[in-house]
Amino acid sequence: MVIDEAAGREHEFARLGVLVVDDDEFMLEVVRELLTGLGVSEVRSASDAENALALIDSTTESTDVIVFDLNMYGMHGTELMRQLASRHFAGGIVLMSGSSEQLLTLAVELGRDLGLRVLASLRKPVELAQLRTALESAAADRHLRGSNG
Amino acid sequence: MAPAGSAIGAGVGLDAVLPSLRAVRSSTHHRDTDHRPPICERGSLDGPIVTADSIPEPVAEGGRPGGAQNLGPDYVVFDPSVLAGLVNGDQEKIARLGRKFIDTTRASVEQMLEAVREGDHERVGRLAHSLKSAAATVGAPGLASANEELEAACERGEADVVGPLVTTIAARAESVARELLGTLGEKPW
Repeated sequence: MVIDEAAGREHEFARLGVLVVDDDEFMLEVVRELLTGLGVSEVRSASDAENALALIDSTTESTDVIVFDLNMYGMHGTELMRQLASRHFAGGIVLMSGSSEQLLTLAVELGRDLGLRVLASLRKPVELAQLRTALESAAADRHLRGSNG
Repeated sequence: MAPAGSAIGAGVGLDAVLPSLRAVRSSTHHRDTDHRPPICERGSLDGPIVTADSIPEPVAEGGRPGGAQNLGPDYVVFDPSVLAGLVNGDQEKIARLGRKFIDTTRASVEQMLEAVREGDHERVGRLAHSLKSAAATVGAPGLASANEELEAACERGEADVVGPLVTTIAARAESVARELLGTLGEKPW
C-alpha cells in the first residue's frame, strides 16, 4: 500500500512541469537536482525573473509550479509575483529565501493577496522533504484539474 | 499589460527588503533592471583564487570586534552527510554538485574581493547572502556563518570589518573545497 502510494506520487510528479528561478547558479542546480530526484521529468530553469517570464510567455507547455528565490537581483521575487498575477498564472508557487521567516511570511501574504496559489515558502537551505510536500499539493491540484477536465 | 506595482531592487538584507515588501502591497510601479553583477567564468578546480597581494589581513580566528566567531574544537569545516542527505546519497549528484559549489564559490569570493577593492559593500553583501545559503546547503556551517556575519556587516555599514571578513571567507572557502574534493577522492589542486 505504501509502495503503491509512493509509486503513484512519483507518477504524479513525473507529469508536473516545474520552472525553477534563482540568480544563484549553484542553488539553481541544487533545486533542479532535488526536483529530478523527486521524479519530476520536466524541469526548466531561469537565472532571473525576466528570463522566467520570457519562458512562460514563449512556451505552450504548461507550468504547474514555479519555484523561485525571493531575493533575486534585478527583478525581485515580489515583482515576479505581481507579474505572474497580471498573467493570471494558475499554477502553484513555491517561494525560497535565505532571509528570515518574517520576510517569507510577508511574501506569502503578498502572493495570496495577489490571488496566487502559494504552495509553500522554504527557507534556504532547502530540504528535500519540504519540496516534496509542496509538490504533493501541486500534484493533487493537477489531478483534480485532470479529473474535472 | 502588467498592473501597477512596485519592484524591490537589489537589496537582499532583511532591513533593506522588509519596508519595500510592505510597501509593495499597495504601491506604484517601478521596475528595477539595475546592473547585474558580472558573472565570473573563472573558478575551475585547478587552483585557489586568493592572491596575497589582493586582500586585506584576515580577521583573527577566535574573535573580533565585529569579525569571525570563535572556532572551538567542535568547529566543522565540511560535513559530507548534509549534501549526501539532500540527494539521497547519489554519488554522481554529490560529485556534480560538489564541483559546482567549488567553482561558483571561488568565483563568488573573487567577485567579493573585487567589490571590496571597489568599496562596493552592497555587492559584497549580495554575494555573501548567496554564499551563505550555498554553504549551508553543502554542509559548510563555518563558511555559512561567516557569510551571515559579512552580510550583516554590509547592511550595518561596518566598513572596517568587511575586508577582513572577506579574507576569512576566502580562507574558509578553500578549506571547504579541500575537504570536499577529498571526499570526492580528488586531489585538491
